[in-house]
Amino acid sequence: MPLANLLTNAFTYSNMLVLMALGLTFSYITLKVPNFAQGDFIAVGAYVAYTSYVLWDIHPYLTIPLSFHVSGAISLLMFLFVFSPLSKRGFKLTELMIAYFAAEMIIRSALLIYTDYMQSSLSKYFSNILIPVGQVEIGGYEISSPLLASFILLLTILVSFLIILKYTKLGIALRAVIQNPELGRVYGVNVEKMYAISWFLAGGITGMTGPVILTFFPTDPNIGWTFLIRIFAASIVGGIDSMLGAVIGGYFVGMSEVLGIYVLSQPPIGLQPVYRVVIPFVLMIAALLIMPRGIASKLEGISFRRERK
Amino acid sequence: MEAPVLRTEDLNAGYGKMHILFDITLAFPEKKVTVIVGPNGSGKSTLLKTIFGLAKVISGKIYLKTQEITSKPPHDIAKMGIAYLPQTQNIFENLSVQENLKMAAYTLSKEEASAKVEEVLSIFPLLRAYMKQKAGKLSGGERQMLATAMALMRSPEILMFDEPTAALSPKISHQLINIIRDLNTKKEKTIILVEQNAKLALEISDYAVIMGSGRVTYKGEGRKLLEDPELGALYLGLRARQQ
Repeated sequence: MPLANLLTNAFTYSNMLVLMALGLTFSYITLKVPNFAQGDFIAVGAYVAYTSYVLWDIHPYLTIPLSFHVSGAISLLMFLFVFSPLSKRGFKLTELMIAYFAAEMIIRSALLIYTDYMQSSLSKYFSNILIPVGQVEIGGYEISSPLLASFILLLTILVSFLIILKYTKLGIALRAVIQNPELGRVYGVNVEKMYAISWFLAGGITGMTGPVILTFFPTDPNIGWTFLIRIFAASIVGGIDSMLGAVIGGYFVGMSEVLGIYVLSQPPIGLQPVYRVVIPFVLMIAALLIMPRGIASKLEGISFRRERK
Repeated sequence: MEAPVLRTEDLNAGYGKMHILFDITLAFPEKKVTVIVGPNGSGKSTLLKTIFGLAKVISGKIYLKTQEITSKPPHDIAKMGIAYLPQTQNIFENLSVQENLKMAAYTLSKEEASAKVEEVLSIFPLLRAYMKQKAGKLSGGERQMLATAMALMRSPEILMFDEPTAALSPKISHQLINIIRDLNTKKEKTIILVEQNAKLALEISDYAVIMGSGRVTYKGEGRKLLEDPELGALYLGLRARQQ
């Protein structure tokens, strides 16, 4: 594999991992419960794009806003019908985690049923799908479309996040509520509404990666599940309670996985590429042992993080 | 006693399954300072939290003027003109002072908010120098001033303070108590002040409530407790402390 190709793959993959990790971190810092269904939003986003492509011949990248809204809506429904009622009944972390697992299975099963149905009624492939989009030419250079799309998407999300969190009333309230929800209530903030908004955004951001993944990787309804461990690895390595951590962790884990498996697959080791998922696993375990609060915790003062009591 | 602006009727409240307040019937007169004193764990803070919708009402009622506000969510109560200053964690430490003030004006329009910021800064000119600084870096006294400034942002009629002088030096405590008194005398706010430092708080009080084990054990004029040595000794051990 020529170096340019390798780097293209590594950066495309990492850009998307950063977006997925941002989604997970954002839902985690608001409610302090890891959402195991986070990966499924990728699949939801991808199938929104694929369905639009098959039915109406719409370019996958044009459906990114729609993927954002559909995944965001599912995430919001999870908040309203899983988290909210259970936490009101006093259930804590363990029960909620199990409930999220259940929700994950429901979403994934629904997608499997959907793809089966579509496949048989339209007689078109709905599993192991990939839409090749080729390359674009910029200033004489051929650049892979998924790389460009993932980069623009990530940049847009990061800049919007920065502007929203720093300069808007909603953003300041979100940060305030993340740090001290009780005090947020005191000042008249509807904390539940803030959580609902965060969960919508968290699902939406991860869902946006679906259409890009669809042009980069063969996709099926289980893709979210296979990505979940990588998203967690990225968030944990970077620091799960920090947005900056998601960016650092996403690049660290993404680059390590793509470049690492390339090196390991060469002679004399000659490892099969199918073992690549071991790399994020190892990184996550190492992070938990050596640096449980993640890389971002070493850069205190740059990130914004929840107060620890 | 003047017409009450806020009152509780046979209020029983607590957290989860813990029953902390028993049959609290109190009336807080308008534009007066009511001081609530009592030992640790007597339910003073819980009473403020219950009024503000942060603790669970088991039975009984709370009225703001004629409107019942029992078990309303805090964000609704905040909009009705009651401000509550928690004892600790009463500022957003990771936001700047300016952002804290913006947060406190969450329910206001942009124009109202900037006018209010100017108004509270004229009461707390000290804060002007720290606008861009993280609130977590302020000293104890400055934090309480910021918290008070934040409480004033929405022009509440009623201000409930939960032990504002705890962990402050005597000098700063005096300053803060004087500011609270001015809010009453100059801005005509109704003040409900929970304090450990009974002597300091009673000096600015119109009325006093003493609580013990979740019940009201005394209610009456605040100054009487200070002036009548027997009452003071009986309820607060004031004389014993002075000797």
